[in-house]
Amino acid sequence: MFKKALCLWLILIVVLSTAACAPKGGDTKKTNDTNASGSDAQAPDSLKTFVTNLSADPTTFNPVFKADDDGHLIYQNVFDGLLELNFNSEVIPGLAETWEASEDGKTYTFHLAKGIKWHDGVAFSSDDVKYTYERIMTDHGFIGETLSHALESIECPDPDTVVLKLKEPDATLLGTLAWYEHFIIPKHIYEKEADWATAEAATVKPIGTGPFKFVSHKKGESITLEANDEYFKGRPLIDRLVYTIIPDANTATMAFRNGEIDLLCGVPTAEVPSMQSDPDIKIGVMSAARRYQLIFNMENEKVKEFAIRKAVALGIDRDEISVKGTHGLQKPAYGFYPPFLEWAYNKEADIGARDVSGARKFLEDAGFTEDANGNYLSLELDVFSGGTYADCAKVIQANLKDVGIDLKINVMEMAAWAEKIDSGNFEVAMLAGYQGPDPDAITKRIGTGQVMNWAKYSNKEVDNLLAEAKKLVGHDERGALYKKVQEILGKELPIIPIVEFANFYAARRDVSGVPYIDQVADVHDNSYAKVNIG
Amino acid sequence: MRRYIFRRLLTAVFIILIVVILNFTIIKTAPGDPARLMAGFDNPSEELIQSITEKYGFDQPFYIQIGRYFKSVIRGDLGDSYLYNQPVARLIADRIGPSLLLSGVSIILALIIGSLLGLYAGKNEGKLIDKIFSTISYFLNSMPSFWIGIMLILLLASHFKWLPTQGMVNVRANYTGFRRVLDIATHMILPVITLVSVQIPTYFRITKSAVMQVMAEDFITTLRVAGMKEGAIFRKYVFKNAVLPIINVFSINLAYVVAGSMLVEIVFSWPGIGVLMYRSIMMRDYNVLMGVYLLISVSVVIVTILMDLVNAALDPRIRYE
Repeated sequence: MFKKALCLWLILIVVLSTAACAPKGGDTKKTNDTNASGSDAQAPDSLKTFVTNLSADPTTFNPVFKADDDGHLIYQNVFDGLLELNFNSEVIPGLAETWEASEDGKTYTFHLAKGIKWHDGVAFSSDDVKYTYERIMTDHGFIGETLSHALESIECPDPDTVVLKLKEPDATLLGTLAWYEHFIIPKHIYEKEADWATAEAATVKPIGTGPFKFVSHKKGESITLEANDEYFKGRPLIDRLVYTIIPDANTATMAFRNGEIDLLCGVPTAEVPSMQSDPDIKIGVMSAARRYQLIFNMENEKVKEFAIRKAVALGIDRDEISVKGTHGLQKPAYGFYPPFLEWAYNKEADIGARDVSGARKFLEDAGFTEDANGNYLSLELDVFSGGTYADCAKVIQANLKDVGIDLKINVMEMAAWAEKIDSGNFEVAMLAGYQGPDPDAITKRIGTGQVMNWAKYSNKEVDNLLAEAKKLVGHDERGALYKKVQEILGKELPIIPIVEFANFYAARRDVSGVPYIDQVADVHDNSYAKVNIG
Repeated sequence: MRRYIFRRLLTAVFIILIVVILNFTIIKTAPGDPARLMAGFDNPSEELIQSITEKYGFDQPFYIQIGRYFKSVIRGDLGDSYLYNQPVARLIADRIGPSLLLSGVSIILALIIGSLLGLYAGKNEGKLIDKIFSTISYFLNSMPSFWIGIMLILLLASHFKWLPTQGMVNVRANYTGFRRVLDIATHMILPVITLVSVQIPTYFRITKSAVMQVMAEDFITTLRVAGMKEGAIFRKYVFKNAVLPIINVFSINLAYVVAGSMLVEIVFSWPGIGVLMYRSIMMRDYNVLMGVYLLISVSVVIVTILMDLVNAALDPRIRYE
């Protein structure tokens, strides 16, 4: 009886496994589809396939509907913007080959590259650009407000030309158009859809003009793209681009070391040193224009007190945070602008080195007295899990203990953190964030009532300086105004820079053309149009 | 019998109803504005948030919202994911297959291996082999599943490179047909070992104690005195009596077949319900969470009813009344 039962069980397992593993109806269809398009005409193994990782499924395939970091990596390979940003945050041509501004700075004319086609074969034209920007403004896309404030009208004198008329001169326009989520979407697809969030092109199959065409999305598993043979900037060097979805960064690292993926995006900080010394691996870093900083809630009764902000600024040891919190991989940041914006950066406004006794004196002069534990006051710092935020926060906590500030750290998951900060119910928070490509980006974070001004900082002089700087053209003139802004920030300290941001990329030695690793400057910063293997 | 099944089904419907109400209430009272989530982070405009709020009725009174939810659940519509702007039912349907495959195979293997080891150890109680099995069982029982998973990846995938570290298929090769089956089977080895390892101790202990209990019964001694062979006693009497507790444990595990392997799925990037649930918790995608919880509740209730019937059929002491 025993043996019979065992045999039965084993048969059952084999049958169940085989039945469950067999290709599902949907998969069979997909395979047929790809065969029909001729992409799988060769044996799969002979295709040059490049595999990289994503931490989650993209929330949408509509590249201009809502901010989505995972999606953004895919959009850069499926879509094009009018202009694009390279790995060094420089504006480069996208769909527009050339452009010129009128003398008064209020009209920009963009000349589009010729012969561009959407992935479904329909010809691309200036109407698509006009449609995209208008839809972003009417459907309140993520960057809708920025465009609405800037644009007066969009004109298409011919299929290859787009003319943008501005309400007033705007030195930041090109940077804005090249920035996050300004990809051009197909008018002929989206104009049929009342809701662009639930459209098939947004949830199932995106259609773009980019270097890769969408093939399939197996949820939770992978997204496959194939080379666009007719890409107007030249066919990609690889045949197939696969994003494999790996939620855990450590698992992704092991998969990379095991050769399952060719490019690892987001190397855990602890792994970086060993990869740097591995001759078979090459590493790149994304740092430009991003940094970790503390923001104070300027509407909070406690941290409104300048002495507290000053004591924190003087009390933290950025070198120690860099070494202990980030393995020395994120360099200390003392100034209010990232180093790449040299022309706008005011070194004089830097916060300076640590000064514990100075910090204590500021608190004592403001009337704070030590309690039995040697603390003048306590503060709460909210950070979100991920990156090295929590590790840096622990060093800050130890630093501030010396100053007499008892810092409590709340580590939260991203959604809870974002909601808390958004509601203004916090004292101090730590975050990173993009500060480019133009120095005007700081306006969003410190301008009165601006969308990312979580510090609720408000200073009329700063607002005026920023508004003025946006209208000017020359670096010298604009730079002088931004330097003045930094001077004020240094005096008022609504935000305190901590360390530069660093997101590491690792690839096998035989992979080339990855923007951050191989310094490829003529493509979007996460585009794999120039990637090659072997 | 019919009346028994009918009563059980009625109770099941009642339980599911309570579960839906509780889920909805708890999730709706949790902090967080779903409209903001649907609009995306980085401060979308207030107009967008307002239009989403109106479209989905987030500003309606609680009883209207729960009424609408009930109506749509009955129609099979679990609402839209806040995060993906897609129907929850579609998101779950896309991921339920891999989860069932992984958990199903693991549960069955754990049942077989765990109970066989338990039978053997029970039969040889106090001997060296029993001590070895018991020690391994305690060892496995004290380790969290994700840790076993990571250790297995480090050893068998990273170090020896015998097996893939993660995923369900080799995305580079894109196999079809039987090679795809083999590919999935290869990718399943590590997660299945992990899941089986953490489930074995339960079956082992329950079977061993059941065997020891039966072996100590007077009728076994009587059979021995009567000259019946040990093997025959074991097969005919001991095994039969030890089966019931094993089935009970199996039914409890089976009830969690849909979403019981969340941590292991995350460690191995298995494209199942677990990863979907994890992301929904992290991103507060409450509609998806409600959908998954409903699925778990329904599967627990169905499996419980089925197992009650199986138990009643196997154990003459249980009556339908």
